[in-house]
Amino acid sequence: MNYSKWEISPEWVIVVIFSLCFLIIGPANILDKRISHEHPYNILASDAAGELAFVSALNERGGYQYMAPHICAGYDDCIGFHPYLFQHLAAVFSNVSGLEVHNVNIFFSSIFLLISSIIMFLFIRKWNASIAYLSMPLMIFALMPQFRIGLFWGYYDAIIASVFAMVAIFMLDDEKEKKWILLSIIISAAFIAHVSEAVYIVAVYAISYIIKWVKERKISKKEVYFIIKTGLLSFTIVLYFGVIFKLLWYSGDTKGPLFGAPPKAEWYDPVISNFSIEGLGMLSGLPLYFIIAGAAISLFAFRKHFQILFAWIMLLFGFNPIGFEAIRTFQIRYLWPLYLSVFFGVALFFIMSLIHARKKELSLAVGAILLIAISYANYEPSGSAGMIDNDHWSALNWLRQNTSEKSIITVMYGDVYNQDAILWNSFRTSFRILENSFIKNLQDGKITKYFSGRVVGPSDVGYAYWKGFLQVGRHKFEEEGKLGGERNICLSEHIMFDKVSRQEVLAQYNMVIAQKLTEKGQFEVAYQNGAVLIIKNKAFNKDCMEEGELNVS
Amino acid sequence: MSADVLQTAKKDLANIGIVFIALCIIFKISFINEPLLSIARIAFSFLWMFVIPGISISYFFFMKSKFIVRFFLGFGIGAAVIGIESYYAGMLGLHIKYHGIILPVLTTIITWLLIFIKKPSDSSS
Repeated sequence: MNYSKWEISPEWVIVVIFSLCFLIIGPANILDKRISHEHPYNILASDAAGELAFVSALNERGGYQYMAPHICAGYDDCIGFHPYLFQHLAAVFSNVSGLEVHNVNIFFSSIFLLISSIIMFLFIRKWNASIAYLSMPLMIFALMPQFRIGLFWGYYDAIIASVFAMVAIFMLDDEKEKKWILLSIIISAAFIAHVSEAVYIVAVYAISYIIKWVKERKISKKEVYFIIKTGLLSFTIVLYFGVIFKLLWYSGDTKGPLFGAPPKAEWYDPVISNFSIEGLGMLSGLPLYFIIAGAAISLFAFRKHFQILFAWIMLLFGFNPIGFEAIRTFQIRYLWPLYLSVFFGVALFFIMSLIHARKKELSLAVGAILLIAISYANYEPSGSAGMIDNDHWSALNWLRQNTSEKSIITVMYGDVYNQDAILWNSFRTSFRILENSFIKNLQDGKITKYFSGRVVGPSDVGYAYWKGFLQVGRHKFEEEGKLGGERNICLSEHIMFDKVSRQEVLAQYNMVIAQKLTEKGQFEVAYQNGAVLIIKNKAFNKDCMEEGELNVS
Repeated sequence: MSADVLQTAKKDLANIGIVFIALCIIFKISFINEPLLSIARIAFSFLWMFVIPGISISYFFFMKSKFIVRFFLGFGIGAAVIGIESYYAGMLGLHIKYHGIILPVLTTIITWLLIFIKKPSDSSS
């Protein structure tokens, strides 16, 4: 067959079918068949809201040397510490595509997940086209509910980095020594997008060299130079972020030295919780058996085929309990449908070989039919407004447009504010009243102006700032009292209340306090819609309301 | 300057045009509620930001590969290069709103200058 004119090859056929299935059951489904929405759509976790705030702030400020003060508890010297590649790409994409920033993140990272899958397909195809076609149906499981949660929860950094990991892995069995510049760029990009993926790339390359050494008992001079040159160039490209990572992340919340052992992360989560067995259970029934069968069949082929080696490594990494990377293994498991797809393809190909059906065209047809069938069988409409509905988004935008940049907004109870990165999107520093303080006052039947809370922000690295050369200070620990504790809300400039709640009594208590605050005239209603009320302080007297007992009737 | 590269690039450009149309159709089928003009701009943005710079760079490394390989790897390469450039350009004071125009153009031009100076030698399978 001659496909040459427009290069309409079988690969394109399966890629187009895969892309359609992927988009329809994935992003189009999640986003209710449209890309542009009036508010951020289907954001379900703080991380996702935080990424939105990062991208929005970057888009407004233009660069990322320092964090935006409204994100960083009001400090204007916080180091831009968060892995930044996704933010930059998303912000640039927003400008080029004309999409508003709040419409970019889920869609944009979905496309990167699609590209990752296709590069994985191309990687398998380098070894065996039939197995590649037959591997694709498993990849579509990355969009099934247990796996696609990363899109709702905002693991965009990991998804973006997976594309770089796939490009690097694709080059494993090339004459990579001639591609050291490209590999350096790719490893660097992975590092600054999401460090874990850079670690996986290096680990996979290292293991491939170890296997080569075991087989041949030698590593050539050319290969040694390749390793040194790639290492040096990557090191140079990522140096600045590498220092930030080491000082701010790898040392946890301590003032660790540049070199030295990192303290054990307190939030260390070994393996099984969060996501693992249940996730694999999503592939229950035939797909799981196929993966196991494919893994078993290919067990002894890993020395010959990097595709098998890579799948085995990613399977084992998914259970890694050791070191800093252990807390990130669940993100590998989200991408198992991609990484382990070769096992699925091998098992199917094995069965087809048994019945002497090894033709590529047949594999293509089986792969395509399975893709469509699996997508159809698992399609379940899942568009939803998410945590930031139109009313909340409008309120956040109102704050952004109608308060001064230095304003600190007091935020009373709201069902979604425990995912507090939502509040970073007001472009103002927020002091969030904590649920336990709010609920305790309610349970005590008190009408009071004193509530406990804290300033919200990405406190992962303690609001770190440069104190000197390679020295960081951390506002979080140095000015602890400033960032949290009990406050007299009479001194708040603006107070935001939720008018509705899943537990009606909490919203009612909000409204009682709002009424008390406005009763004496110190506060006035500045903005309200169906879900949110914002009041503004006019006088800043300490005694702005009558304290007393809550009238239960 | 390698005539092969220029020849391949011409073909690739035509193929990118076809992919653009296919992408618009696929996006429109999937995101049926999104206006076509918006979809066309989004599809163009991916090609502009990632594929065009990335595919240019890929001539150094994947010249002998099929267009499909250069296209998708080029996407990843373009994202890597533009992402890194964007960060450092922002740090140097170039506002991010200009990156979408300047960086893809600059990357593509520099790559093509290098192609003119140094004939790409490919070793890919």
